[in-house]
Amino acid sequence: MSAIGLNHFLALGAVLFCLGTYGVLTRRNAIAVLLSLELMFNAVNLNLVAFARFMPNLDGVVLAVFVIAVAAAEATVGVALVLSIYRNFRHIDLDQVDTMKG
Amino acid sequence: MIYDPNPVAFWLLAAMVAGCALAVVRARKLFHAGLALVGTLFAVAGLYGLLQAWFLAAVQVLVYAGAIAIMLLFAIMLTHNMMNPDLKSLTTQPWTAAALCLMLLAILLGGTLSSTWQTAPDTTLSPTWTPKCGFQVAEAIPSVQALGFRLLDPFTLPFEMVSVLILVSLIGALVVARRNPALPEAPEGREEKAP
Amino acid sequence: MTNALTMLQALAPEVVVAATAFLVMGLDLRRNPSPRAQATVAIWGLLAGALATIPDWLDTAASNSALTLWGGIFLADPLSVVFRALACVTGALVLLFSIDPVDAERRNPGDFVTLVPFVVLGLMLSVSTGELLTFFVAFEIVSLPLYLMAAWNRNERASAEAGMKYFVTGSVSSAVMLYGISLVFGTMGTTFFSQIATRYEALADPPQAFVLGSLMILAALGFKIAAAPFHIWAPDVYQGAPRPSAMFISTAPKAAMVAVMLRLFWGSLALQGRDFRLAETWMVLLAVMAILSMFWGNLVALAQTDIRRLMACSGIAHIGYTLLGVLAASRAGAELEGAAAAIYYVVVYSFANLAAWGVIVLVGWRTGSDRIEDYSGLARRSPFLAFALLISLLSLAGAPPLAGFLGKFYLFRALWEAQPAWWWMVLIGIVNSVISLYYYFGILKPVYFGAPQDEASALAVPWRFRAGLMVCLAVLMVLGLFPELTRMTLEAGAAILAQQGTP
Repeated sequence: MSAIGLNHFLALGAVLFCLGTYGVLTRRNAIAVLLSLELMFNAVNLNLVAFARFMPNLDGVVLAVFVIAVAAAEATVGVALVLSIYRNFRHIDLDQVDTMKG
Repeated sequence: MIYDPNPVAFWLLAAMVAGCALAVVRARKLFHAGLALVGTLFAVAGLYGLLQAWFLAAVQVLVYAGAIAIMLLFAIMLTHNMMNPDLKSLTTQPWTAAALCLMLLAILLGGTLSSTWQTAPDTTLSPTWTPKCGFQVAEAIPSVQALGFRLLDPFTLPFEMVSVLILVSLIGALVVARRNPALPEAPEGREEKAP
Repeated sequence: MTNALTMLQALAPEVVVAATAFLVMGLDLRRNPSPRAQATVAIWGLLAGALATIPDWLDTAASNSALTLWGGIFLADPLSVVFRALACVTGALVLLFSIDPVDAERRNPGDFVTLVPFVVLGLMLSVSTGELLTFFVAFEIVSLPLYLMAAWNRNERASAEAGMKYFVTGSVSSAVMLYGISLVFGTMGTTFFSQIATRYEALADPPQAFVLGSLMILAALGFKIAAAPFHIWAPDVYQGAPRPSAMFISTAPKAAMVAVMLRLFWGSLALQGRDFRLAETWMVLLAVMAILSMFWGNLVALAQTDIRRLMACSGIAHIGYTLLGVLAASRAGAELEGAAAAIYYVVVYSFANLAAWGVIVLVGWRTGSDRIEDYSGLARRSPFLAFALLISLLSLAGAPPLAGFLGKFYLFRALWEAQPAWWWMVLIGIVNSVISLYYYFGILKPVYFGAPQDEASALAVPWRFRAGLMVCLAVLMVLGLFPELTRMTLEAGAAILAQQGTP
């Protein structure tokens, strides 16, 4: 087993980001989409912390702290919107939440 | 000073991250997907530990796994009948999306793995701003103290802005999530069928 | 030289707007809150914020340099002054147009009024920062309330749907942008624009990951301004969101994002680096985005029967024109004319769009309909509203005596002078302007020549709408009727941008 370098962490971050993208594209349930979005934000954080350690530059960790705070706010908003969708449609399947046509 | 993370720990955590993330996007039951997300978040916290970002590992467990994931689980429970087994069609168009994501992965890996990274603190830059507290930007191991000074010295403004961000999202989220007493509510039993 | 006084002066507009926002929030907590009084306070506060940019303006113009705080996290330069003032005025106009319907329909007017100054604060900070992460956080202060404002009508399905669609596309683009930021940070070791520029200049060959990262940031910005091919969300969101929210969504973030594009891709990289290999990649992408946006927006607009969807399509097309200016600005030797034309165009677009939306909000509130056929005979029901619609749509179409015409003229001229080989792009722009005339007249024809559906009903125009529309129309007509004024503004803008050193 070779030594673990920066590229290993970056590859894992890329895999996590793509899994999140896959989830956003395929999930039809609104909360499942939110879960996948959190995966994407985590992939970014993994990248940032890996850079911070290997550079080394503390700013990467500072950036990651901000990303966590923004993700928390984003999740709050997402849950509020899910509840609003649920109250109006009585379900949260996004492919049926498509009433407007141009 | 060479930083050399333990390969066994890395591969174990990486397998856990990838496995749990796959479960998040593929699980048949939404609740399982939520639990898998908690698993992913813990594994990522482990990776932060491996990268010696101890403070961030703690924040990850406390804020992410502790608060955000639990809030999402609550949302699942509020909007779903747990006994309802009808979640077979949780996922649509898996193959097109899988192909697209593999393409994205190839681009990201191709773009990142062959790149040269900034792997040493840059001395050619003349920093336009030297923190008043005298801390060096590059710390070997990011100590919590250094992190705190960094947050308050150049990153003062975004630090304050995050508080505004959380305030506005709370105000708005309360309005949207609350029932409106002034207006009639959609009847409880209304079930929308697929066209 | 950063002492407390310069810091306070540079940040004065933000301080005023933030204080206004908190004051308005406090007024909402009284026992018997009065949303209209809150709106009045907020409007005056926002106008005061716009006035508070004047010292920054005089200072940067006199000293030929940007006021820089925290090493570039906050910049007060001419670009930021223009767009901070624009954000304040936009917020005030949105409040003027929205408070009556939101209050009358009892849709949480107090909270709506509270969120607007906070969004303006986010806009101001996002145009005046020289650091990627600060920009991201500032723009989230804009985005998150706007997602919620799109879902503001809690008991309407279309509104909830619009909010969710806007949220999902917006959050994905945020994640993409963050990934891009992380790659830029990894290759450059910093997120400060000025240091990225220095670093970039020193490199012989930009690392692949840096190119990838900046392209991801560009794509995410494209999402936020609804430029094709990242525009799919816009028509549904504009149609489903409450009209006041749609008005805000269609104006404020677009102008700010254009400013940020100029700062990022022209200010700190293309120009500073003097290395146009990377800029070439952007130019190709910008050109593709611009042409797709113009054609998609204008052609799809032809088929619309709902005025809100039509405005969404027209907004996409206008972003296409503006990107032509950004494109000209990334060409060596034509940066200043291109940038000045793009700034002028987006300012004029903001006012024309606000005036058109003001009419849409009022008509929609009174009649409950957005179908273009229901605008039939508007001229007889309310001559003033019809006139406001006429002027704003003609300005959007680029008809001669109005500001929109000059905007398009300077834009195309800047593009032509930047690169005569791009004549075909100028041609595409002109062809698209002609196409757009067709659907704008499609609205104006029933307004002026159609018969009202019920003859008796005159539409009363509340004074807030009258005042707001007057301001917008005055801007469009004065800038249009006095081309000298426009030319002087543009030249002064270009000169000031030129004097500026490293951002």
